[in-house]
Amino acid sequence: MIGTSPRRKEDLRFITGRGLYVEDIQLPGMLHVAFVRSAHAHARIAAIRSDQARKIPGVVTVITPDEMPELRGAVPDLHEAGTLHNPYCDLNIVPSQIMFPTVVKYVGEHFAAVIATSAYAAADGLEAVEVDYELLPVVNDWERAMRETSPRVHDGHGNVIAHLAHSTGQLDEAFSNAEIVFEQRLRTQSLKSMAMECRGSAATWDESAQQLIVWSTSQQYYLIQENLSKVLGIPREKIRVIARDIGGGFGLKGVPYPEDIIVPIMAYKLKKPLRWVETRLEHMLSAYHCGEQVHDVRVAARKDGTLLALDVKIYKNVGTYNHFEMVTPTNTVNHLHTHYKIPNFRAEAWSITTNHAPVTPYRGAGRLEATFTMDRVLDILARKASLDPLEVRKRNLISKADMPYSSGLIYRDGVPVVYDDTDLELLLNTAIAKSDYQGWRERQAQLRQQGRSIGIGISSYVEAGGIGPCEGATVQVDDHGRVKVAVGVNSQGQGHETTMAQICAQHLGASFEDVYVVGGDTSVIPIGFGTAASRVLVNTGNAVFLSAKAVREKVQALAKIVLDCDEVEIRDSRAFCKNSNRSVSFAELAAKAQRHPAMAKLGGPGLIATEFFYPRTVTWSAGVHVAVLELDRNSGQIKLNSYTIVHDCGVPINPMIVEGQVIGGFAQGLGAAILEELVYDDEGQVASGSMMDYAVPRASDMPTISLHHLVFPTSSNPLGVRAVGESGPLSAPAAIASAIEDAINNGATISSIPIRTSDILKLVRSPGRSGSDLQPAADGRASASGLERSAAIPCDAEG
Amino acid sequence: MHCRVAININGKTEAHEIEPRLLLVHFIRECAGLTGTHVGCDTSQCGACTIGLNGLAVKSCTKFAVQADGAEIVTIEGLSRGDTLHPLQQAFRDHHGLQCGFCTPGMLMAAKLMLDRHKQLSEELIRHELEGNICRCTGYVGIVKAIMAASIATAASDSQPDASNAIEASSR
Repeated sequence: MIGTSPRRKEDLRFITGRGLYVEDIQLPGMLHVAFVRSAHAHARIAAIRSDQARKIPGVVTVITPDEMPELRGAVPDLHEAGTLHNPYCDLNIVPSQIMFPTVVKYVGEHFAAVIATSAYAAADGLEAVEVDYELLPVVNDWERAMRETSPRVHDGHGNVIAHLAHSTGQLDEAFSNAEIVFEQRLRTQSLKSMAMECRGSAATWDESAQQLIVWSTSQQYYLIQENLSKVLGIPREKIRVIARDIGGGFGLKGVPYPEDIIVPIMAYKLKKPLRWVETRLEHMLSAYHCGEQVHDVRVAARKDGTLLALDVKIYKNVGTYNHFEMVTPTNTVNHLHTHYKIPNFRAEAWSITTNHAPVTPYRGAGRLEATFTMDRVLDILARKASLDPLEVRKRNLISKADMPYSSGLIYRDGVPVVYDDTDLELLLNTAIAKSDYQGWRERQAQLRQQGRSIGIGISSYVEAGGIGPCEGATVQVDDHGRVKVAVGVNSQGQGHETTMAQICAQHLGASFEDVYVVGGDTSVIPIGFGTAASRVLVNTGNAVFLSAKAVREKVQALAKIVLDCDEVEIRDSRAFCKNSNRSVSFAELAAKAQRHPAMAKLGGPGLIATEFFYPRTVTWSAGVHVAVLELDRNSGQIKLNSYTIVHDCGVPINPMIVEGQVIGGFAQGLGAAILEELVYDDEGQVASGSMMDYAVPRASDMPTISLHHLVFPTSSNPLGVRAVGESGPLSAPAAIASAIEDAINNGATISSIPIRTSDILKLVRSPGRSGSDLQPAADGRASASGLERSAAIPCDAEG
Repeated sequence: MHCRVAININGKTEAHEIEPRLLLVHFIRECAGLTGTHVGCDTSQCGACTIGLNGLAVKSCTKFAVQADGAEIVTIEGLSRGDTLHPLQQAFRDHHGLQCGFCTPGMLMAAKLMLDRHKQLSEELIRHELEGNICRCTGYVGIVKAIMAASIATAASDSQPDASNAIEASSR
């Protein structure tokens, strides 16, 4: 069963229109919520006048902090699954976020709500609410925000709210011995995950069960249960959060949002069923984004292209709050080495608050930024050393002989980073062969003679995934022979109902058709940590393995007694007595297991087991992308001629789903490379506030992809699986940037994504200039709070 | 101010007193209770609300329900015949043409009307025709494969009962 691609179990309801997303929830007497949101990036709410709104037909009430004082409180703690403490951080302030604040700190921040009999009436009510704002200075630019003189986002502390540092080796010595030294600023934009379903919440108080039932779009729905329990002071088991059919997440729906808590609080207080469904405009303004990140690198190398040292300073614009603390910059540091040896390394990072919406990790979560940074460094080094980019990579590659390889980094679960059970050389060589790299180099030279501009780019990524602390699974066989797998995670499209069923079927010996998976509901298993950080297969998958194995042992023991047989074989939901024709079905065994006295020594009645899997640390997946494209120098348009992906994610449970994850992820990486950016203007207003302005890839943007799986099972978990959810996008921006730069071929350096057609044209027309950041940097670049910064090099003028 | 609108949806007449400003997509979802048709944006970009209206693929968030008074509509719920999936639905499942499923109803309806309009589909044409439908999960590869497969399956089953048509067409 494992390693095959049965059709997905969840598909049937989705292709027939019978999925049940939050917007589909209908409750008797249900009212609709619309949030009053700030028009300004920083302002004090002097007055909210709701008299006119309350007169609108259909408007039931307007909830302000005066109306419901509970909402004056802060959203309780936010946790990321698995992070005990950040090993690199020496400063980490997490400003608390008030549910209905009196000072709004980003455009789109909510501070009151209209409740009405229809969503249309709620929108009318919203229009009629009058708000007096007292404007406050807007902190818009992270670099100016770092200055001591900058206005502050939060009272009580400066705008730099987190800092980390880590180093290995002897950096200064390496720089003094270097033959090649260069500096470069590299920038990655803020992205929105742009799931097709926006956020939403529905909630009702069940008087008979004394239970608050919540339907949510959250990836970490147990956190909503936990936070509601804290705010309302009612036990967790009196709150049931259902988050089952979700229209995509990609990290954006990972953090518990204030609205996720506020809607159920209002339903509980008003004792009315409520539903809030976010509009796309609201989503663009107030759902979180990944945040701009800037990397100032200083590189030391020998003239033969051997890297000696990398010194990187990372600046992260975290928007208003710091919910995920330093997850993204920490991930960037820990994924920067990708496939290469960096003998001497120093990283430092700052998180800076601004009056932008808060940020949250988006698929890749710092890994895409790391990959872009490292491959840009290698491409610049290749030019400085007059080497082919492939040659530079080969000279610095971590080889099989180096395994297990310790980079000197420490993962954010506190465990040192070690690469093992993988072959990065084979990944690179396979990508080079499958992409016909050498053939394209020859064709590139020939076509250049004809005035055509072909570009080739290579990028290598690693993906750490499967962070703990743990996940559990309950496997239970019922007396109809149906096998239930209950898990503490939910799917936003990953296909858990299929992959978890495959794992269970294989290791229990059940037929796949008999197995069904339930998750996305706090009532099916009491503890879970949610779907994020590519952690479900490693954690939950192995928990399903353990539980299935435990139930199998019970099946085996009971079948021996029932069949009066020494050796029993289990397959297709039956136990067979070896060397005889006697057999018994799971259904019969499950019925017997209810009352059979033998179960006393097998853990109690029923064929049921709950096991938890605790990973020691993360797994490391890896891959290589090769992009080949042609540039039209007159229009700046690029056309991808071929795109090759070679990847390893350990044992693939369902190759079709793995392929879907990699290719779907690549599409998001393509968007990051050339199309997408969440743009804020000088006033902190969102300038890309709709799907017309924020360009996600369409069907015609996608190239044909040549995808190759290599399988290096990991020995770190019983299934031998590694994470795959975030692999797809990681290398696309680096490979495409490299290929565009190679096609331009005039010494220009691409230093920023997205790479727009206008950026390409500027580079084609003005050789030797750097990337999309063509404006000269502001004078006297920030030297805030005593932070030492080398003079940043905005443009790397070569050629 | 309310007005009465009657729309035939999947063969059944839905007559409701509605506000004139009610969008067709909300008529389908809230009045007819058919929640398979989704809303993914406010600007008619995403296509999650695509339905068949009098034989045309229409984004139901761009029309008022009153504009569809008397019309015949097919939604995702009307695509299969009982328990028998439409070839497109089967193909989406066979080729992993969906992940989260949110864009899927709109994709399937756009694809259905694409098949109705074109005798022959190429990959390029499918990609062009899907310009109005966004999927964030799949990278479109499975969707394009599925539509292609369904198009071939449909063409094969169309040509079977009357092989003379196919011969005639190819000799032209």
